[in-house]
Amino acid sequence: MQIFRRAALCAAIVLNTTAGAFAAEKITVGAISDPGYASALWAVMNGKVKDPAVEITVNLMPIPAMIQASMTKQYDIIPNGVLAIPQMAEAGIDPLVIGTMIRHIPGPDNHTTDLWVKNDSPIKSVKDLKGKKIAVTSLEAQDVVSRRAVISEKYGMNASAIGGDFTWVEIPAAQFEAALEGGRVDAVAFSNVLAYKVDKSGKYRSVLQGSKELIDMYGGPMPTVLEIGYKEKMAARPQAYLAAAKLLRQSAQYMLTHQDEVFADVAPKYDMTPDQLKGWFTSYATMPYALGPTDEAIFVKAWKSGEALGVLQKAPTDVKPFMWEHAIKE
Amino acid sequence: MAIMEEEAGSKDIIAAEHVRRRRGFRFRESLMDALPAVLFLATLLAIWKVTSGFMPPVLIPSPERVVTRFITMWSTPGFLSYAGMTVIHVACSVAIAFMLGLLVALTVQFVPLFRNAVYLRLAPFLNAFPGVGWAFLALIWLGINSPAVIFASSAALLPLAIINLGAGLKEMNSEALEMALSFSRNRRRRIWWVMLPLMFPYMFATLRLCFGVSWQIVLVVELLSGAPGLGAVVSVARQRYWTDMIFSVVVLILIAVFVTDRLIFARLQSRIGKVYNV
Repeated sequence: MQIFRRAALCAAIVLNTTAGAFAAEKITVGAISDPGYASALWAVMNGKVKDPAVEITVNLMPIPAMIQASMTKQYDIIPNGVLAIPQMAEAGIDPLVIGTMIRHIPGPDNHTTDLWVKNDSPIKSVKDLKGKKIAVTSLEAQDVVSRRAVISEKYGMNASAIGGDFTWVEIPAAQFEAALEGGRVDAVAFSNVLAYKVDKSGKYRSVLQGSKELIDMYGGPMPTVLEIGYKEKMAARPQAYLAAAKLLRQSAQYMLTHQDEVFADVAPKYDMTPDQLKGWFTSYATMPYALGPTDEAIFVKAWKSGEALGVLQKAPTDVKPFMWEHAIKE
Repeated sequence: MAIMEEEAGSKDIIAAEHVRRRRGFRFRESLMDALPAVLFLATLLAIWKVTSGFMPPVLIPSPERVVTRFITMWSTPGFLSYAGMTVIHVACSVAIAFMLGLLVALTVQFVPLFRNAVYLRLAPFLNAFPGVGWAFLALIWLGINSPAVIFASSAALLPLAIINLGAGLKEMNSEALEMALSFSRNRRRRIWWVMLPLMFPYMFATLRLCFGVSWQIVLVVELLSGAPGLGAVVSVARQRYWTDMIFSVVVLILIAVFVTDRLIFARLQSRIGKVYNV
């Protein structure tokens, strides 16, 4: 009887150990509540791409909430702007870049980083916006900082967040059109998929084509949003992070190869058509979840612009301290 | 004669010694009064310094970091102009809330028909209405500008003013009011020469209270509405992970509130108080 008991105990221990060894590691991913992110992460959220070694949970939220979440380290992987990397390092957070989440597509039809005014507005150029109000979702969001860098470096104006040539006001993107129509602001910074929708509606006029100017400034398409993790968390579970990073890339690739399936599900949730989503991914931006050949060089140039804008205390001259050794590359 | 001079001299010496002793006693007394406050501040600074050594700057920036940021920020015209905007917002909202509160309280005093409507309906309603609600309504009604901030914070301060000033009128010496009535039937004269002076303690309490609370409300409204001011600076600081900038804003507000309260309100109250028993 005792032999049976011992055998049962051993079996239980072995089973428990084996189950523990094969239990999937849990990785939490924060993302922006935007149709682009929802499309790129659709496959992983709907179980179309899987890895038994890792279980990914995705939470979608607005940009200001994401900025807050990045401070508290509550997600394992988060999106953040190029300039946020040295900013986080300065604040003692220690981020590491896993890949590029959003990169502009070069071309004349790209209006993802524009400034928009009403069609009948007397404002004809950026210069006319001096002393006016510009609505943005978040002053330090990368797409806004990129616009400010362009205004500062290409137009020679003071684009400081405080005390500059413009009054920047932070309001939710959903209120942009009402604010512009009601005359509460003079220009707005539509971004990502919303920018594509607005461009095609023909209701508003662009006075600054940011993505084109950024290519001139940095010598390549702008990688605006990066996929990052935290050094100590990544060091503790490198294999889990690697599996998660690969899975996220697979999810983004699934979207490209199954556009009809993904966009048909995502587009209605964001009050848009699948064609609008297709258009955004064709002419505005890609979401590769991997580093491109020119990305790292552009990070350094963008950081330099950030220092000139006063967003960074000191621009790093080398990307190496911020790159994960297993960073995903295209 | 010589004896008298000697006596006078010794009296002077005794008097001088007495003055010296009294001065010494006062100095020791004021030192003993100030010592706990100084020790408290020193302990707080020491704890802050030690804690910052174990925490990343985004959570607890070191005192040196905050001092550096404080000097950099408040020597930049852009930041100073934003601080100036907040001062204007605070001053305007306190003035509006105070004047409106006084007007409502006096109206109720002379037209008792409104008493229940004001103290049992309006004041509790305004008191319960959240400041954030006023901020969003102001944003919709007035746009993203200073009038929106002033409106929202005045609305949030108004119940404080009504309730405080109303209490002042309620507690007023009824005999003095009767006497004033026997001297003059002119309501304006009675308000100006009798009621307002009698209300000084409550008026000062209301002003000081509104002033302290208004900084809190104005900052939140600026943060929510995106209008220029220290609230917008806090928003930028948060997005840049510059917690030292948030600390610098807080320190500036502490200094502004302390200086205004102690050097302006307290001195004014003490000067007027001698005349009007404040």
